[in-house]
Amino acid sequence: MMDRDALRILKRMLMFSIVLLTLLIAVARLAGSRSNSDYYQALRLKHARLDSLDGPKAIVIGGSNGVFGLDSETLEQRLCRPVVNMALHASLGIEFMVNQVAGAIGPGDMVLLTMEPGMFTSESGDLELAMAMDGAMESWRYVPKPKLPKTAATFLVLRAKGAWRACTMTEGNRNGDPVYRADCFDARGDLRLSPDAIASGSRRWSRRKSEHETIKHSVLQQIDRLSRITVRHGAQLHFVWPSVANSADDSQFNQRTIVALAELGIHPVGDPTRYVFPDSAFLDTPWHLKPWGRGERTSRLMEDLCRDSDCCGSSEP
Amino acid sequence: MPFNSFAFLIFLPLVFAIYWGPVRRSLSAQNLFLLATSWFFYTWWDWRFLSLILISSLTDFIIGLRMASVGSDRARAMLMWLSIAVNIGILGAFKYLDFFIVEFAGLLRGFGFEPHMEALGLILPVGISFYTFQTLSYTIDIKRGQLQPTRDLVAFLAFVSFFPQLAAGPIERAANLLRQFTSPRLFDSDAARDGLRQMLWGLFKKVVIADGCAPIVDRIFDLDPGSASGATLFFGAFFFAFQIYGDFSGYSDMAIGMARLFGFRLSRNFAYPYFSRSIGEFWRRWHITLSTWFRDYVYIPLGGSRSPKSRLRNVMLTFVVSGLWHGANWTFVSWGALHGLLHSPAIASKRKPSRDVPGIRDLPSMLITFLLVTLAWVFFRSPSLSEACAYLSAMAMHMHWSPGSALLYLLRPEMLLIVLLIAVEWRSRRKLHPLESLPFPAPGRWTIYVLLIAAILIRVDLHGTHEFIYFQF
Repeated sequence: MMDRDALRILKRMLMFSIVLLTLLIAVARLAGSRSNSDYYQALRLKHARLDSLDGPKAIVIGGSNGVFGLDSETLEQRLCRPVVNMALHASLGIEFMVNQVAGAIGPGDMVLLTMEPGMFTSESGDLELAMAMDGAMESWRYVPKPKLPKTAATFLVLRAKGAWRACTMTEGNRNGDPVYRADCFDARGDLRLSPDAIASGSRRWSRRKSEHETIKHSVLQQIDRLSRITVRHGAQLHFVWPSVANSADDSQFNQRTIVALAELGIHPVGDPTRYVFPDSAFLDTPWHLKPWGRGERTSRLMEDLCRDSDCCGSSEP
Repeated sequence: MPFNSFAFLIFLPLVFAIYWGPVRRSLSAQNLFLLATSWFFYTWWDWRFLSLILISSLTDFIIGLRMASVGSDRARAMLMWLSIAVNIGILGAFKYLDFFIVEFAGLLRGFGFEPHMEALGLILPVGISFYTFQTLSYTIDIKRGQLQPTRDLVAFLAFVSFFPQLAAGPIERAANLLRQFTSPRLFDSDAARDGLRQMLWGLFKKVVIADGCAPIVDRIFDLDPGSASGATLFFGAFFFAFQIYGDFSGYSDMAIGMARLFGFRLSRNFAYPYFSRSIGEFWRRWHITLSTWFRDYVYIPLGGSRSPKSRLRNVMLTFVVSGLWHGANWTFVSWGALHGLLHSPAIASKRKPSRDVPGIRDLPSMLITFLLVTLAWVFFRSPSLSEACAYLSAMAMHMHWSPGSALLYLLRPEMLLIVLLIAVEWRSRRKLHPLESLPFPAPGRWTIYVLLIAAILIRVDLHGTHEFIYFQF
């Protein structure tokens, strides 16, 4: 039995929290998404495509290097099956990405997993998961269960902040971003850059200092989980190297990745050095290829992937 | 586990419910529960450093008991020095060893040697500067005959590890806090409600004021001072003054308010320091528990103000050591020394400190004091001494006080919030915190609470939790 006065205060705080939560949910529903960028709304398009595909298909999952750096139309021609590019943002985390596709993997499918080094060493970001919910509400289903309460709370605050911006007319140009827009995605889920976006000059990035970064066991567990799902459903899983700018390449971390994946029985496709490109081929981060780089990278991937096997033939269930 | 985190939102009500629920009938059960939750709270950051709290606590608990049993004053003094050696040794190793290695290597290179010495890269355990000082004060007070040692190990461990004040103070004396662990605690509704209000005010200062100023400060301090206008550099220091005030006093308010939920009364740590009329008064209003600690355990043992000649020296030494406490960098030492220098005229003139509440007639002296403190903050914020000096000299030389560049900062929402903060705190300068005893009926009070919460939700930075500044000390 609790102290009566203490219990009274606790009840009051609980009531207040419930009222506050109800208010926030109401604001979230009424305000809708007021994010400055509708980038995450691309998830709806990707899920719609994934749900629409029956039969053998290729699914790309991973960080934004997959969004900017793979040509799904070319992949379709070489792999002889439809492609859906589910990649979006590395900070969504591997568990979210696996959750998205776990129920859609079927016999004859090919899953191409492309992860930036940061995905191996970091957990998913609460804000990015909340933004995914903000862009495509149904994404809540794919948020890792332990993270759901905090993601939901972050989502509610995100919507409240958006509503405030709308009320105080401090929203800015909601469709002003030249790159990160849902309408820049094509039907397969690739991001097609506008001419304005491509016009930015080349940059240099610093090499990652990854000596003290640990490959997270939880991340490897999710990769293993994906591997088991693909095997169970008669599909194939391939780890493909992310495209990276020359000045940001981290060959030591690549070696650690090879060792870690080998313990799961996964062998990356090709040599990582084949996916290192000049800095001028990249847009705003060392992972986001401009169009000419996208074509070259896809071409190299197909050479590596289909060197020893008939990529078309393996589309048979 | 930071106070402004989602996990803490779940942790606090649970701990409150159990503390005043199943374990409330037994003082030892309550203390044991508080100890367990405090250790859980601490291990959220890094479980490995719990061992240091244990070493420091057990050493001083045993030394305290031994002091009571030995006959001679000399033996008690030796035990006290043993306590000092262990606690300062732990603090020195984790906080200052790398600094001294690097500086010593630099000195040897200056003499033409090529030493092969590398910093160990030790992580600074959260709260180490606070709990070591807290346990030290226990043994020193016993040696002075001002305190009787406790035989209650759980109470003592809970006193050292008490989660509201473990990470960043207030630095409590055993005479105040340990006594509360050894006395029965009854739930006080009024104290708990006021504690909640104080927590809300503290969270507002941290999230809205401090975290709001942080990006502006970071941007300005990242600039090359040679290319920035004097106005920009000044406002960088100005916003930092409010960032560190909102951050640290916000934390203290949350800690003190939280402790009241559990029936504890912690020491006041901030008393509206930017209304100070002199540097001396500033140090009676800023981080009060630290400055009184240094007064009682450094300044007075050095001789205090016994002789006019040594008083100035003792004041300077105390300020320098206080600066060093803040961090292993010459910038903090310089910051402390600068405050000592700024306080020296008052010492030399033997001017009596003002004890009354500041009024509007004190505006000139408040503004001058605030300006001096703000300029001194540049040393505190800068990563190196040379950068601090470059910043200040550029500020002095590039005094392009065009209306445009000043307006750029004066019209920012953060400036409006600072003005609001100053106005509210000025009105409340006789109270412990502005939300204490609000002169409105319940609907009015609740409107204010809701507005504060709305401000917190609107201004909270979702990109990441801004850690409290004083966690790095």
